Amino acid sequence: MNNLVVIVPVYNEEKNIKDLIVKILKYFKNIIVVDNSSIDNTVAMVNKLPVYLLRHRVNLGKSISMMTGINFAKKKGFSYAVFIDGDGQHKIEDLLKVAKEANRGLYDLIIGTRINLKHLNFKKRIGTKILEKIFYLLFGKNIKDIQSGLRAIKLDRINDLKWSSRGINHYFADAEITTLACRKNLKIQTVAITAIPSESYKGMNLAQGLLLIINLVCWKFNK
Amino acid sequence: MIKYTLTLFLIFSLLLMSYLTFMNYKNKTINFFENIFWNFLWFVIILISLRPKFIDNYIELNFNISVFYILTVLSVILLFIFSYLNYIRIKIIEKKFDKAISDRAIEDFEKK
Repeated sequence: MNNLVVIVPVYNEEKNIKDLIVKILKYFKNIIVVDNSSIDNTVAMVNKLPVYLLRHRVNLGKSISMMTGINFAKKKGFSYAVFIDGDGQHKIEDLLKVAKEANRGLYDLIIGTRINLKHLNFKKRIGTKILEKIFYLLFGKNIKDIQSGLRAIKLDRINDLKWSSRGINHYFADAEITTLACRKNLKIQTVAITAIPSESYKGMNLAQGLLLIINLVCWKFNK
Repeated sequence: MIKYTLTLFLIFSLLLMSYLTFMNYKNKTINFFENIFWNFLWFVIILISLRPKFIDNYIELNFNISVFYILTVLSVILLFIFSYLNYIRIKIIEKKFDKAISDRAIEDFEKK
């Protein structure tokens, strides 16, 4: 998997990051960790490991961390970037599944979609289902987990996937990438994954869910 | 009653704005002249809101309409225009800032 790089955006993940990176290093030699100005020992943990560590001096949210990772990966000449969340909510086996699909080189965007939502509470499960239906109505594609953080992007097609979510909307970057890929008719593949319930993963609240729906409508008509 | 409540609310808001302006001056966000300009503006608005009809004594219009009314309408229009311009300006600065921080992270790594 030489032409593929794993990008891990992190913010205050001292508890999980070392284990996660050590696990990833068993299978991938190219890892970019983008630290979003963490105030704990995340950087000290990562510094000892053989990875590319990029540090934002100011916390700009996940969206810009992803962009920094992509820009660096392009500079280094990688052809695929696989994103994984830094909180340890994704399994390494699932990362391998997504990377395997990326290695085939057939798809522009590969999304790891959570099939089993049992670890989510009732409200969040319903919210995810509603989001899925609205996404289908707007974009005509049946993608179960539009904002999954585990995904691979073909870097040749990154100009078609220039997302604008930032500021208070920075958590919507993943969803926006999915919508852009649908609108630009990129080749999308989904891979079933199982998420590990994480302490730090709180998901979206009702207001954020509604904001995401409004954003989905805007992205639909944004030419 | 509602008229007095609104006037009181307006005066309170403007005094707060005046205080914030002064604090911004003290923190050196704005300079002395900017401080004078903004505080002068807040106090003029307080005066107008206290005695809306007094400007009618100075300015005579040939229409059967109060100068205060015209000022209010113009203020609302200006408020929206400036809000929009500020919003766009913030957006541009935000994008430049994001790019600068992102580029700097890559440069810092390459310098190591």
